[in-house]
Amino acid sequence: MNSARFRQIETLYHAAREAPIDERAALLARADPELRHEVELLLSEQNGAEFLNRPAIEHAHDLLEDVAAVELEPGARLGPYRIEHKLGEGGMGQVFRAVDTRLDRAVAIKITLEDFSARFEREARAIASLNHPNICTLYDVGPNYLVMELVDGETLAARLKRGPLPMNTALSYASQIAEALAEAHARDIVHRDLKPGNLMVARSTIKVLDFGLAKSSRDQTVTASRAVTGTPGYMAPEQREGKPADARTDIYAFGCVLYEMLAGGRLAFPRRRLSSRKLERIVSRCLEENPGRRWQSAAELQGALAAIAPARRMAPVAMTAGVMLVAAAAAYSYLHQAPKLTSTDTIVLAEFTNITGDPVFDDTLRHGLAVQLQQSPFLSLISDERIRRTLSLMNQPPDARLTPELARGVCVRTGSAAVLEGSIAPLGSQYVLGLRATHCTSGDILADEQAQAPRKEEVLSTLSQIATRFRTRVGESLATIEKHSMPLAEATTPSLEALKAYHAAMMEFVWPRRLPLLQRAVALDPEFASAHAQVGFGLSTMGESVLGRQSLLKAHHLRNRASDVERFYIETLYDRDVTGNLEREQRTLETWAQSYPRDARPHTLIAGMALTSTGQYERAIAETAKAIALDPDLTPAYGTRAFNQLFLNRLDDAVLTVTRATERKLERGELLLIPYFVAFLKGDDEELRRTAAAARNSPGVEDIISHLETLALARSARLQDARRMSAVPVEIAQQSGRRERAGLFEAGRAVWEALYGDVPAARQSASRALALGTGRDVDYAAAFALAIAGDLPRSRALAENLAREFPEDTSVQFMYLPTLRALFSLAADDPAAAIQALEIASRYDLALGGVGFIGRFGGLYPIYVRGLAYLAARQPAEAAAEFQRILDHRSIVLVDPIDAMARLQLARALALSGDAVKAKRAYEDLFTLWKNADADIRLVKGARAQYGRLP
Amino acid sequence: MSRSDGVTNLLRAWSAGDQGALDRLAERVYSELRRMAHRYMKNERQANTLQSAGLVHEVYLRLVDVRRVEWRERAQFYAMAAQMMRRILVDAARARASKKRGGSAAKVNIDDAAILSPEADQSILALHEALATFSRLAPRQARVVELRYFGGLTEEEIVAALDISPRTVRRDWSFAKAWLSRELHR
Repeated sequence: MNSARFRQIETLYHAAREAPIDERAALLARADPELRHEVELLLSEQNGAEFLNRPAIEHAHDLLEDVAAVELEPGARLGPYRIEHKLGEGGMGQVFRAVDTRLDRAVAIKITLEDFSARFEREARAIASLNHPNICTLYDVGPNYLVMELVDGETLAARLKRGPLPMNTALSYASQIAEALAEAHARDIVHRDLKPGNLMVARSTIKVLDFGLAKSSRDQTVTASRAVTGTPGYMAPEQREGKPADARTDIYAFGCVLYEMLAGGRLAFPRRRLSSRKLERIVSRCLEENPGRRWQSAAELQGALAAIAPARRMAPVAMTAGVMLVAAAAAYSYLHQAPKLTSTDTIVLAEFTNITGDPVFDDTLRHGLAVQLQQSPFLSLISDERIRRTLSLMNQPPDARLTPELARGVCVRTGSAAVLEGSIAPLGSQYVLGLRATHCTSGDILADEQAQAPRKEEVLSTLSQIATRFRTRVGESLATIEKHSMPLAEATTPSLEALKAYHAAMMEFVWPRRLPLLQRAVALDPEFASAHAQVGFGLSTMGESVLGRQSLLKAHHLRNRASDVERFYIETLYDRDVTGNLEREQRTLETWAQSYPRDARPHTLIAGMALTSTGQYERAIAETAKAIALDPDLTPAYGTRAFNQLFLNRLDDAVLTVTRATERKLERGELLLIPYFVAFLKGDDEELRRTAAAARNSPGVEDIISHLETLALARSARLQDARRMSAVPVEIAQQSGRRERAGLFEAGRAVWEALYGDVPAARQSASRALALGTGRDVDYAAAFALAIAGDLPRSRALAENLAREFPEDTSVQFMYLPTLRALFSLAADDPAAAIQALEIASRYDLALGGVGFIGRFGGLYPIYVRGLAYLAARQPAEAAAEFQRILDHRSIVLVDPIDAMARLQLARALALSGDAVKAKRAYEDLFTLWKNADADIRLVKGARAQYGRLP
Repeated sequence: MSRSDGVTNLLRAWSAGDQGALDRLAERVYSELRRMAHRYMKNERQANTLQSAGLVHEVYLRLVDVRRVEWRERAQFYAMAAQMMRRILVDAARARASKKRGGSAAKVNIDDAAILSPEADQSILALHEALATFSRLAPRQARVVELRYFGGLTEEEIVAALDISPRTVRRDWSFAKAWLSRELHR
């Protein structure tokens, strides 16, 4: 490698990394293949170098231990296992052959270089449940070892060094691997590192090994910190970009393996085509860049493989006229098969042509038809946002009427399969409805339906009949139709006017504009379940949980009037905002996603409150990836994604997400807070000011940004300024009638007043907050403030109320009440009870809770209180560890003044445990934060005095 | 003259160009750093409360009178300390590796998780080698890695030590990580 070449690689690497995603691909494409390959490999290493992120010394803690080194020699025993000899070494560790002396069975033990995380262990146990002849069974799991089935054979990699496989063998292996994948995927386990090195061949059987890197797509898991997410050569494009893997990632790798089995050589781009056209087609589809275009499941793949008859020995045949005729006939019949849509096809719904002259039909019929068609899990309509965006790419105004011409243009540009055109025309006093589906590239007509409605009131039900027939015509099985069908009128509303209002509402981007329209819809049709649900959702999102609950209860009551999809949505919201049972909400959303795999909404909803407020940030990110893949114009998904990335301190990723949203012109709402938080975490004051100003100019966020600035001031002990500023968000919220939100902002003040020790101010603030608007989160914040301030009777009353009103609520039962109870125990001088009370909260230690999710304060308070409990229990080392945890998660705590408190308590704990040096440093860090503190704060003065007293 | 006066003067002298001062300074710093590193490695396993830059920063605070020293001198100190940290850790890793090779095979119980502990020595040595090769191609980037990974310096400190822009530091770090990671996983 010479230095000129090196420079090239470096330059291209930076250029590619810093370019927006679309341009990156273009940049790489322009480079020569070798250079491109080098850079792609480097880009894919982004997620593999975790160990470099922590300074060496932190890894080196046992370098000087006098622990006797362990050499696993033959004869050594590891519990019930007797080591025989070393089999080999891999990237993760060493593999030994051993004997399980209890069962007298030979096994393979893999001992890894680093301990597994507890999560990995749990998830490995899930993998151990896989029991299939083509999966290498996992018998046992320990802190850093895996005990597996011993396979007597060689790896496929070794076998392939000797040349390609005969087609029948390759087919047989391929089928077996597909079976193994199907089994694992059915249990939500993705392999993530499928390659010939992980496949063992033993005579005619092939087994998949090393699910050690596999990730259960259900749970958030962490692999051993140094392990990479797959081998670059077999990595799917989305994996290389660091996106989470799913079944289709395995399918990509499968394609690479299948190719290699048949061609003998590794996959290189551009690649040689395989001689068998059927296999070529299968491999091509595995290797599609876009996961949505690949085989969607191992089962599908199995079907395709099964259709290939094993090769027969070819007898040399002269080309006769007979053969030619047969070939021609086959071609003929192929051309004239009615083209059907497959499950990856999307369709574009054009505007209804309305020649009745009655405007009530404008938009509503199209909307109604969309609702009807969306009930089918197999049909996927391009979303309206995507249509708008495509239109602007076509230099059309985004609200241009989607005439059949334009629709065809959109269809082609989005790679959709068909355009659906509807029409309504008068026929005397009756109406004629028509629906035609045209394949947009071939022009073939897929379906052409007509029906008559005798009266206006029956137009909608006629429409639903047509839609059902349409669904049949284009190849859906009847079984699905019956399962997912509800006539239109009961599905949404029999009132055209209400439907129109609803439709208009959903076109609005911000809740303050959307709500009035929804309320109109509900006024027009009081039984309009979905509209009630949306009203409830909007109110809750804006922090008006009490009002929101009323609407959601109503929607829940009316849920049987809604279609399946709407019912999922209503049940989700019911749990999210009425019962607060986030576990059940999660299950509902998972079922929704399974039943409607093309629907992006369950993924984005689950990533919101359900996962984020319970601290499952990693999984939330994965879900938003799915949501965005399904619908790249789904605004809420970007915001949720960016926040979760922020919480995991992946600042570059968060910024990238915002950029992606901005590129699609979707930057709105709380997404605008991300740059502010990033500037905060990076300590960039200039940028902080700039981003705050930008956010303040945006309706919908101006109150929250003032609230955040208040918190930031309080954190810096600039309490006078904070008090002045704190009135602003409260006022803004009050002005728009959002009392509970105002209450929550005020309660935030009560908390920091209490933390800084101003008891009267805290009590007044708490009273004000509760007077402004009560709700679950306001009550908790006020109760917390009051408990810290020592006003126990009021705090207890609030706690009892919460316990009574919210028996199923996850935030209340697992975060709020334990924290409050612990504070009560501390007030009663019982730190042991306090620690005990917080046991139940430990699972949600890193969660935000509802209060953190909406009010952006209150996260990690259980950890703080636990720290206080340890201090009271004279265990300063444990206390220090707890407070340190809070500091280690700055990216979750953000501007919450609890950060300052944690630093103070950490310093105290360190001093108490005798480490004056570290304590001093902790105080120094705190004083840097408090450099502009008000002069009269007793807590600050006390801290300085404590510092001065240190040796 | 107090202890910190001595070191401070040496640091300032070196910064002003006195190469002789460097040797004496290095001796003082190295011994202090080594002592603290060993104490850290022995004791800090349980309560890992030390922040990343802690060690170098702590030695700095102990040895140097911060009021008399400018940012540039501090940066040079840090850069030197980072190199020393690398030496200290690599030496310790080598010592450990050779101890293991000649060590006795203890028969241990599988319940004793401590024995199957991470082979940190392997990774530090491997990185050290890879970094040496890398520095021939990209000396500045390698320095960034040394300062950050071995020295535990923050971005600002690296900016000061190498007199480069924050953007360059970030880019160099990103590239170096990717390169080294690839080398180590070959």
